[in-house]
Amino acid sequence: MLLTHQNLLGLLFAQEKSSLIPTHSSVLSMILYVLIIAAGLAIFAYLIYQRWQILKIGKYEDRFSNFGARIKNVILVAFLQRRIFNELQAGLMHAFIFWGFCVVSINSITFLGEGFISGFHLPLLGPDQILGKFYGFMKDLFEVLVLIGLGIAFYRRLILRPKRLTYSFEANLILIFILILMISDFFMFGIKLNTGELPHEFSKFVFASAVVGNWVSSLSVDTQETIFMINFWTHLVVFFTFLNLLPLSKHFHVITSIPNTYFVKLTPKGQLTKMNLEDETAESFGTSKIEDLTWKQIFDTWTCTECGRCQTYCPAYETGKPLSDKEINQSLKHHIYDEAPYIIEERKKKSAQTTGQPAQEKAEETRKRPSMIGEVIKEDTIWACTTCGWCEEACPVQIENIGRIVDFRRYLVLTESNFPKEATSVFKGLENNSNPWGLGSNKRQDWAEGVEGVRWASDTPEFEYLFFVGCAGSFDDRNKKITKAMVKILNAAGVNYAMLGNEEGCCGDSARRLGNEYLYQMLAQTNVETFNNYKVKKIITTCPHGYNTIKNEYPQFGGNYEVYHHTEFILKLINEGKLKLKNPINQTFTYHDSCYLGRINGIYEEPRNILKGINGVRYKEMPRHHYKSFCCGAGGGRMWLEEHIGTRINANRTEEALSLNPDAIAVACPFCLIMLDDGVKDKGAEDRVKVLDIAEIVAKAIE
Amino acid sequence: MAKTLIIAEHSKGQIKKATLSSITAATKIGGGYSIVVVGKDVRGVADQYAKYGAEKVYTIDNDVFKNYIAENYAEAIAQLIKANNFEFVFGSATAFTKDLLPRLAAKFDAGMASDVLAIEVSGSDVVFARPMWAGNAIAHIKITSPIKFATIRATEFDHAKEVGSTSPVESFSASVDPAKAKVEYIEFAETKSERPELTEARVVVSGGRGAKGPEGFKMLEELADLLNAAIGASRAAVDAGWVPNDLQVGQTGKIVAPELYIACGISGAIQHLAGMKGSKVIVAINKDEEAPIFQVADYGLVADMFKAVPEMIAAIKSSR
Amino acid sequence: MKILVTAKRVTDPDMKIKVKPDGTGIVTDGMNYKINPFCEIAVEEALRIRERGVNAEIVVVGIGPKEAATEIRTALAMGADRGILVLMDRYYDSTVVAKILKKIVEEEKPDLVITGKQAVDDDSNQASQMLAEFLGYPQACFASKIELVDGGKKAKVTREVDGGLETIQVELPAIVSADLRLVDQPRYPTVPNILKAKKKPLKEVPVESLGIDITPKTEFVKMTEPPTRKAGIKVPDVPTLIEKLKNEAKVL
Repeated sequence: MLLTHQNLLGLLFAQEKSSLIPTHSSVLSMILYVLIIAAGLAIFAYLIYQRWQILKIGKYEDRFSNFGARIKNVILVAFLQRRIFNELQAGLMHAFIFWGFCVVSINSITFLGEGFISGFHLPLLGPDQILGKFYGFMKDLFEVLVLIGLGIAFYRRLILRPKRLTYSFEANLILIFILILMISDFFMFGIKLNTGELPHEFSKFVFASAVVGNWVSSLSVDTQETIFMINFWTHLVVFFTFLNLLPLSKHFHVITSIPNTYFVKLTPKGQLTKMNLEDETAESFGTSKIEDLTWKQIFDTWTCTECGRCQTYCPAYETGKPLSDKEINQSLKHHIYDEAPYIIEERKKKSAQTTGQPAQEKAEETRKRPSMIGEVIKEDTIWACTTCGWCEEACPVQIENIGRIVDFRRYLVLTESNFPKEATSVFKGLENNSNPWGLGSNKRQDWAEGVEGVRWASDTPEFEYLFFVGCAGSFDDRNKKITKAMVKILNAAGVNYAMLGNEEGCCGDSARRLGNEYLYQMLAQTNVETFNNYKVKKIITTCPHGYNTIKNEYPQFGGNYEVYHHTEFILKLINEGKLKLKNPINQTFTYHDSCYLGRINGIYEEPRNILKGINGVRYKEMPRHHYKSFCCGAGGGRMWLEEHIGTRINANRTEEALSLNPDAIAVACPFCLIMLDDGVKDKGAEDRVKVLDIAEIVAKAIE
Repeated sequence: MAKTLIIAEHSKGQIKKATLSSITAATKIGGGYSIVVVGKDVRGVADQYAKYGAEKVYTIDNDVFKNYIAENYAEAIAQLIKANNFEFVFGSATAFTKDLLPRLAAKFDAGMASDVLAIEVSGSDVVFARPMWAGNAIAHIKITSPIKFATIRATEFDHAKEVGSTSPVESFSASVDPAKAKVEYIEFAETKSERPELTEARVVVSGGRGAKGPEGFKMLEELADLLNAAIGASRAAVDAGWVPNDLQVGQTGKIVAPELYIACGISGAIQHLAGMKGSKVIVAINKDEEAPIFQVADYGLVADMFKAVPEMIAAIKSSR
Repeated sequence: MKILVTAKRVTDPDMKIKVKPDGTGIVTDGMNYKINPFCEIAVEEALRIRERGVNAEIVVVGIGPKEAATEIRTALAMGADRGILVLMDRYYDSTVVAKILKKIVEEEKPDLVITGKQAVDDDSNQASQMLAEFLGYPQACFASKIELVDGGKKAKVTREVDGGLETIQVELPAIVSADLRLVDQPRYPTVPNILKAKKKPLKEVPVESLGIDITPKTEFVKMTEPPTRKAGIKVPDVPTLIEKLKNEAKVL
């Protein structure tokens, strides 16, 4: 063929088409296509590389061992969207879009491949193959579900406007992009069916595309080709724009969420990390700057979808404190992006120095980084948390919030001694007398004066169970009654138990949650030593905080015991026939799930079963029950702190309980007891509603 | 020659009742006692003290002693002691005496007993009983130096009564060089209030959650006025905003030990008890008969404070 | 400048105190000890004086058994620079304490000595005043505020006295004893400071090596329990209550 300019033009803008796809009939198109893909991928690779560099700033943390458990979590939480379905409407919305995304991604490969090779398809997925037909159907089905999901999403964002969401332009833009991708796909498949590029039989499977195809089938072939071309380029450009928008927005979670569920924390929910406090050269303990964060903590901030579910039942957020898991993620994320370039630069300079190159001028020394604690994350935020676990339970992508808040507290307490003043006497009391009230440690067994049947470890050579009384049960007047009730119950059931009396020390929970790891380790080690000296194997405790730390955290100090919460144990005694609930109690009860018993340690049914097993008890469930239970406000060491901001957490929960008009509110935790008791008194309802521990109720029933 | 010298206190030209307890303590020692009044223009005070049976009342009266400066007072009284044969030197355990007496004792390389609760004399042995561990143990000690110093806890010894006769008043001339003290007196800021200060009041009327609001405290204030008492509050009342937080009695508030503590509508949680369990007499008024406060109350009344307190106010008013 | 502060090892005031049946002292089994709260305040104030802008070396001195080093380390963890423990294991009283401290002051020559006004076990409130007299230094006891004035040559001290607050100005060197309100709350040591304190110098000095007369001027006879609080009674009505308060308790 002669190289005339007509022929050249023909080559560039050829008229005859073997395929609708423009890259096969025009060299210019192919060049443009390659350029767009190359640019799109290059930008994406760069963005990911940047983030990889940032990730390396974080400290190492092992989230790689135990492959099996991790994969299981990925399947349940990511692929089966388990947590997403905690809210049905939002659950369906997201599941449709996510599953749609998963299914349609295979088609994206086909789409890109076709641009290079006409008629490209993945092995076994050709339009005339069985698997291909099946896939075609699934693709269209899920794309329709995506459209439904998008409909729900737009409804929620534009009309319903639930308060937990963040209403940003970016969120709506992403929805529009997804819409465009779906619609353009339908058009492309539809028109391909019309022109015969896809076999007619295929229309039975890509049913939705066929419908769309019918809408334009009456138009001329040229028009349809143009429409196809517009959809093709739009799809391509939107695809790569979307791809590159991911790392730049909250939609980074599209990439990071599945890995995040792989990197999930596999240690027990109630277990915090153990710090190494022996380093005598360390100038700083805890987390106060970006370099103190672990890579997983950095990764978490990228995975936040801004869904706000963490806020729904957050006791601090709901009562007006400036604490929100979502906001912490966003603040940290922006802080890290802002500062990372400087940190990376510094490290490059440092490593240049160590390779013997002359020291560079410290040009950046004059730059003052905003403080992570204080400026980026306010101190009020850090102290407002009750560690109730709602945020971590609700988060669909399993972001860890409690650990980092405690890490911030650790810095404030251990390195700066900067903490709410009220905690000073608590720390000193724990240090000197092993209880937060600072009452003499030799007064710890005074509650037992005049109580019959008490058994002390020092006099009971072979006891099976250690009844760990705890500080509240030993010193707080109201809770001493629960201790006495337990003694009565254990004796009635003939349990071979003993108590440590003055040899018992605080379990240390409050110290650890307030960030005073140094004090906590001292308390834990002392108790473990005492327990092991007595060869303790099994422990019963009435306090979920003691329960949690002894069961889940004492192993960090060589203390491995079988730990029972008293409600578990009482139910066991009842089932074994050792306790007879013979006296009826004709009252209406509701039950408050303690955070450390329920959400954090999974004990929900035992207390309910005990109550329901008592004759005459009428039981009513609170609206926020089981894993949705609303915290009483005392956890996280906040029992000892003043509430200065917003409304009272315990008032919020008390109102809910009182709205059921019960005769009594049953609890299974000394802190919840104090908080709800105070709450009831504040409302002036103490004459008509009692707050009772399960042990007291059972003690009455077995009399 | 009198055996005991009592260092007398005075304020605004009047004697201080606390000193009268030291006089009673001195009578336990026996052998007579003298009183010394230090200050400027103190003849009037000395005349008042002269009614209490002292062998002599000395005045050390000079511009140098216009304001209390420990170094000057100690030097002056030491000269008086050297000029006489006092074996015991007493004063009531007030801030003034507690500051002065040890310095004075040191001038004689002598021993001292603080805050004496009781004196036991058997023959030539004098044993002082004094509190240790905030009164949780009583130590009985003898002082082995030739001159024995002691501060007396005024609430443990009755105030001496006027004897009817008048002691001679003698002025003692002490030579004291104020420059030696190296101390300059600047000022005294007296705390003024219509109601006694919470930590110093003899009687405290305290309210808790049972007061139900600021109105409840108005009622308690009426009772406090009648008893010249200070007002205290439990944490619950302070948290609810019914009273300012400097009225909070408790572990994180003020520790008080008045003669009479009346707790109204206070349940008696440990934190509150920690602040008032040192009170001499505790009265509790509370609707809930199981309230822990009844475990420490000397007198407990199970009643609604809104009925009991007005009754008390009426009863006290009518008996006056 | 140099500031000398005290750190006495005392029984924890929150512990139950029981007198031994033989009256020779209190039961010390299972006893907890800590730094005397007033001494802790003194240490804290010295640190604050330094933080207010004075270049000061802070030396802590304690008197007691070997274990008393713990309380000196507490003061070092708060931020003091070095410690001296005078080892002492026999009966002593305030006159002995004052004499020992006098010897230390003569050796260390501090510009300011801040002590706790009293120890919560002994409750004597004598040693600081006696020390001032032995040294011929001015005293400013029961301090609720200390201010260095006149270029650090004098201290303006506000004292808690009966009925109000008295302010005096003393020339340094002087003895100041700390009262409760001198400091709102002594600091809680940071972990880096606790670890550093382990390495700070702490000199142990047997009391005999001081070469001074440590004969006490008091003699211990015995110890007894205080009269116990009679168990309370419940009264049926207000008239009974008033009657009892008037005639039985004699407080109305």
